[in-house]
Amino acid sequence: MIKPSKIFEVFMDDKWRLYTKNLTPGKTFFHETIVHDKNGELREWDPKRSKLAATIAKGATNIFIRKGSVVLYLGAAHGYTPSYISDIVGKEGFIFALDSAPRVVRDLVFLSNDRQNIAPILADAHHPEQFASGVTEVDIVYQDVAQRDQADIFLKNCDEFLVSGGYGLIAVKARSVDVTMRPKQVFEEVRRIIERKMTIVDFRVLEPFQKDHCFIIAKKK
Amino acid sequence: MKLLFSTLIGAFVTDDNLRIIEHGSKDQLVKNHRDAQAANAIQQRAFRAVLKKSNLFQQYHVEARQHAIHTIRTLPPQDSLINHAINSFSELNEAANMLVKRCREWYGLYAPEAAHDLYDNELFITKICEKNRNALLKELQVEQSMGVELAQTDVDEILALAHQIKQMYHLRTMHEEYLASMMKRYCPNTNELCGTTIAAQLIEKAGSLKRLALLPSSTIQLLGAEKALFRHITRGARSPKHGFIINHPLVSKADRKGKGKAARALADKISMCARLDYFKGEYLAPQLLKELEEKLA
Repeated sequence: MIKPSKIFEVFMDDKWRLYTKNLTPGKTFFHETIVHDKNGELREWDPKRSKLAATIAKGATNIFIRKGSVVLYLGAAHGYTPSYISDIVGKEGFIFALDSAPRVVRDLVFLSNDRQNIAPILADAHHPEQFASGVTEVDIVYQDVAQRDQADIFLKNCDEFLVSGGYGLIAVKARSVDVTMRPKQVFEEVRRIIERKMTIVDFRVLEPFQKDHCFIIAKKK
Repeated sequence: MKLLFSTLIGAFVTDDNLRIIEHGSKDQLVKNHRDAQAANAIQQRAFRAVLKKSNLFQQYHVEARQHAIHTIRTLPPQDSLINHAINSFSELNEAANMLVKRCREWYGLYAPEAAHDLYDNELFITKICEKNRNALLKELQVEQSMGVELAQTDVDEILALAHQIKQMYHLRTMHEEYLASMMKRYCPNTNELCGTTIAAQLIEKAGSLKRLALLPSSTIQLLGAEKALFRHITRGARSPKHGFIINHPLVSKADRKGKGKAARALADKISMCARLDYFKGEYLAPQLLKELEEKLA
């Protein structure tokens, strides 16, 4: 029995599997399981492939992305998570999906063929000034880039593009920040950097879905 | 006072309160509004909020797609071509070696002496493709064979596999020649100094010639030894001294104690060569190689 969950536009069945309503019925991109039900066509959302889904599966009560949100997605890769965010924000919302590798932007372009609410951008998140002309102000900044200075990149982009009072979502990969430090220490360090400028509202360690990752949701002051 | 903003979806002219007066191509707007001033960073930030509210997302979608498609289409392909060719080369190598093992066992049923004596994989495959069993055994001077008598259909199946493997070896050689000719044009110095395979492996690992050129030589020395390096950093094991460049004759021929020194000196010269190639410098590799040989002699 699939019911709407606490999270906006996200559904959940009695085995804690997550679903979103497919924006492009009849079409999937990532070989995900499709369920037809009274809510329409639902796509299963795998917490092992998506850090946002893992955050929800770990008990986050709000991810602050909702119908009509405008999202800046840094590190979109092949577009697995962006495709679900695209389901959540719906036709009224919009996603600026950014990645620095041409190979994966190729896949993003294919994804945006059918999903009118995604704009693929080939640019480096380190340098907001280089892609600033291609994005508007946004309600949500989502970052999943696995870089050593990912907290700084996050703050830079939030400062530049996030609306005041908007939320920033960041997935931290401890092994990319520092391999010699214990993941817990890395998370503390990243939290400290983010707390200087924003208020942290949620913190989840993503074990066992993702190894050595944590997810932080912060609100811009 | 009018303000001029240029964005991906065209230019905008606004009044003081950032109310949009006109939206169109930049040239046109500059002509129509000669008194408009280019906006500063703070104004641009404020204007992005206006853009968000004016619901132009469909245009952003179209323009961003166009821009991304155009950028991807016009990227120089050299680095990717090298990456794919060297990866294909090493995958072919692995696949062929795996298949040869099976083929050798299989053919060993029919002519154990041939499978045992022809130690070299490539030679073994060429021989069994060329000659039949009797000729082969005669050539190896075997008087009494342990081989089972097999029906022609069974032998044909084995030989079909052998022919496929032969094709793979052929393809591997083709890749090698292709890579060599391409690298000679693209990065003559690096290619001359460390040979096609190592040079291609280094470029593949670094990502592109640009990134190889920007790497410090200590990193180049250890490219390809990531596993050992992280074992060293995280668990304090002994530090690696060489990555891919261990296959270079100057390093592999050095004695056990001199390997680290040779690797360090070679990596130094490779980083110079990569920079010469990337910034389109002169052809200095033979001179550098000579210096290196003198130093290590």
